[in-house]
Amino acid sequence: MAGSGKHPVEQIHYDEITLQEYSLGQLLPEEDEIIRAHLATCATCRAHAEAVAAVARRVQRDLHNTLDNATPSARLNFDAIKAEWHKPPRRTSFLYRLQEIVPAGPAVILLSVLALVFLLFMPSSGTVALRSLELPGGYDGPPAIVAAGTDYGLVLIRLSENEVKPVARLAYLTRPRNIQFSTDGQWVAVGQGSTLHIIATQDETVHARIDITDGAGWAWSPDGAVLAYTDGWGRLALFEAAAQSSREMVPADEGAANVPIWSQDGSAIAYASGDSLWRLDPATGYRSELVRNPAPDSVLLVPAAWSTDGTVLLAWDQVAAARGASPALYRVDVLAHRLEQIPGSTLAQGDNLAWPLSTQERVLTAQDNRLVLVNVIDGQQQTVPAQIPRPAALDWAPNGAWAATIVPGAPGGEGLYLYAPQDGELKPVALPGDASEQDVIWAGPEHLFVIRQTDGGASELWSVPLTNGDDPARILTNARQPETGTLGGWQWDNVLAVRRLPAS
Amino acid sequence: MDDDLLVRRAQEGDDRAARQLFDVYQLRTFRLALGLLGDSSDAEEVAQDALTYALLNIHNYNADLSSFSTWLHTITVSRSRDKRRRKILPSIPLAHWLGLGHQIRDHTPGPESYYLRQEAESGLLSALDQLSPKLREAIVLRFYADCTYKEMGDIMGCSLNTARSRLRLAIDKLRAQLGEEQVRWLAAENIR
Repeated sequence: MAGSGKHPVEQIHYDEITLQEYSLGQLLPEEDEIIRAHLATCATCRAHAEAVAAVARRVQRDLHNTLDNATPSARLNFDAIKAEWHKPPRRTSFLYRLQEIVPAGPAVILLSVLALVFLLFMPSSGTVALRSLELPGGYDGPPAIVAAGTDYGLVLIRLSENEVKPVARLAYLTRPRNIQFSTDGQWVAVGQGSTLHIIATQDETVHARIDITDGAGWAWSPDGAVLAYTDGWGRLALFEAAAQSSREMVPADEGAANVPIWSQDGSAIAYASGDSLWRLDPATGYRSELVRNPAPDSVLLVPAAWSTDGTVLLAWDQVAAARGASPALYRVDVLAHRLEQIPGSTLAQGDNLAWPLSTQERVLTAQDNRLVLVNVIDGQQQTVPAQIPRPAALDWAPNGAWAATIVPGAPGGEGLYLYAPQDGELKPVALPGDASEQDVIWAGPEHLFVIRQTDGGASELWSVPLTNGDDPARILTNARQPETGTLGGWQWDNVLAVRRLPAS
Repeated sequence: MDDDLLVRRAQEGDDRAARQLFDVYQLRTFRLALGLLGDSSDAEEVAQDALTYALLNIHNYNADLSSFSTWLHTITVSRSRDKRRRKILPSIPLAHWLGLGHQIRDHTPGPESYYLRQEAESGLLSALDQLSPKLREAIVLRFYADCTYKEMGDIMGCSLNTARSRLRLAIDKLRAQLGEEQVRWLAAENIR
C-alpha cells in the first residue's frame, strides 16, 4: 500500500519503502522495534517484509556462493604495475630512493653537488624544447596562438606581426590530448591521463584541473567564455573560465558522453546520452530529447555540427568508424524531432569528422565511388567532378565558398588543393620541401595553416598565405607525432593546435 | 600490517607496500568485477585495469575522503561501466593491429565462467542478469561488497537516496521476475 509516512497513523499498513528498510536492517533501533510490534499483528505487512528479506538473503547467499569460489587466472598479476612503478611520473620520491642507498647526510651533499653541476652545464629542458622546434625569427600571417606537443611538454607560441614568441612551456603535459583553444585564445583546454587541464595562456598559474576518464570530451563556447565537457562518467558540465567554476548540467547517471557540440550562436548544446541525442539550453539547463537512436545495438549516434540557424543537427555513427568502416551521416530535424540518414558516408579523423560542415550548410559525402556535396537544410546534392580526389582532410573557408583539401598519397609539397564548389575549380597550392601534407586549418579569408610530416616522422606547422606574392613559411618543426585513435585517423589535435586570434 | 600503513608507504613510493596492497585486494576486486559483469575474462581485465590505475595513481588517493577499499571499488565500478560501453562500441584489438591474430588473448571460457553459467541457469542469478547495469551495481555493492548506502552512493556517483531507491527498484524487479509463488517459497524456506 502506498504511503509516505513511516508510521501508519491513518493507514492500515506500512509503506513498501519502510518495510524494505526494516527488512534490510536499515532502521534506527526504536523504529525497528515499532515495526516489529506491528508485524506481529499484521499478516500483510509481515508477508511483504518476509518476501523482501527472503529475496535479499537469497541474493546475498547466491552471490557469495558464486563469487567466493571464483579465482582469477595468472593473467591478473602485479607485473604491469611493477614495470611502470619506477617510470615517470615517479611514484618513488627521489629522497626515498636515495635514503635506501646512502644515509641522509652524504645524500644532501651529493644532491647539492649534482644540482650545481646541472645548473652550470646543462641547458634547461625549456631551452631544449624551444631549440628543437626551430622557431623562425619573423612571421607575416594573421595573429594566432599555437600549441605544440614536444618530448619536453606542451609549448604555447603566440604569432603576431613580425613576431613568433613562445609564451609558456607546460612541462607536465607530455602526453596531451584534444588541445582546444578558446576562440579568443585566452584559454587552452587539454587532457592528460585522468585530468582535464584548463589553463590561462597569458598566465599559466591560473589553472583548473578536472577529473575525467575515458570517453570524456570538451568544446569551447563560440564566445570562448565557457567550456562544455563530459567527464567520461556520464556527467556533462559547463566550466566558466572567468569564474573558474563548474556547473553540472547533466548528472552522471544520465550517461552523457563524447564531445558536446555548441550551436553557432551558443544558445544550445547537442550531446549524446544513452540511446538518444539531446539538446541542452546552457542558460536554463533545460534538456530535451531530439531523437532516439533507432538501432542502438549497431549504431552509436554522436552529434557533429549544428546548421547556422540551429534547425538541423548533423550526426554520425561512431561504431562504423571504430570498425574501420566509413561512417554514415544523419540529419536531425530539430523542430520535427526527425532523424534521416544522409545518402553516402563520411570520413572520421579521431573523434571528429575529417569532412566538416561548411557555413553554407554543405557537407561532403562519398556515394558509390563519387563525392557529393549535400546541403543539410534542403537536401540538395551536387556531384563533385571526378578529377577531384577523395580528401584525407578538409576545411572550409569562413564564407564556405572554398574548401582546402589534403590529397592522400600525393608527393610531399603537392598534397594541398583548393576547391570551389560553385564553379568546380580545383587549384593546387605547392609547398616547398619534401614533407607530406596531413591536415589543414583555414585561418581567415586568405590564410591556411597546414600540418605536414617529414620522412623522419617530425610534425611541422606551416603558414600558407593565399595572396599573391607571399610565400609559405614553416612555423615550427619536431612536434611529436600523434597516435591513431580508436576511431581511426591521425589525432592531430593531440599534438598540434592553432587558433587564429581576433586582430587587436 | 594494516591498510592505512600500506597505503601511506605506497604513497611514499615503496613498491613492496604496493605489492602487498595488490595481494590483499586482487581477489576482492576480481570478484566484485565478476559480480558486476558476469564474465570472468572481462572481470580479470577490469580488475587488472582498476588495480593498475589505483596503485600507479595512489598519490591521488585522499584517505580523508574515503577508505582505500571504497576508492578502489569506485574505480572498479567505473572500469566495469567502461568495459560494458566498449562492448557496445567495438574496438580493434591490439593483436589485430600488429597482425598477430588472436594469439594474445585466450577467449576460451575458464572454469569460473562455466560455473557462473551453470548457476545462472536457475534462480536469482538468472534474474540478476536481467537487471540494468545500475541496478545490478546496487545489488552487488550492497549484498556482496556489504556497502552502506553512503558508500554505494559514493561508489556509483550518486546520492545516498538514489542508491537507496536503486536498491529498492532492483529488489522489486527481482521479485517481479521470480514471481510471487517463488518468493513465497523462498520466504517459507527461510522460516523452515
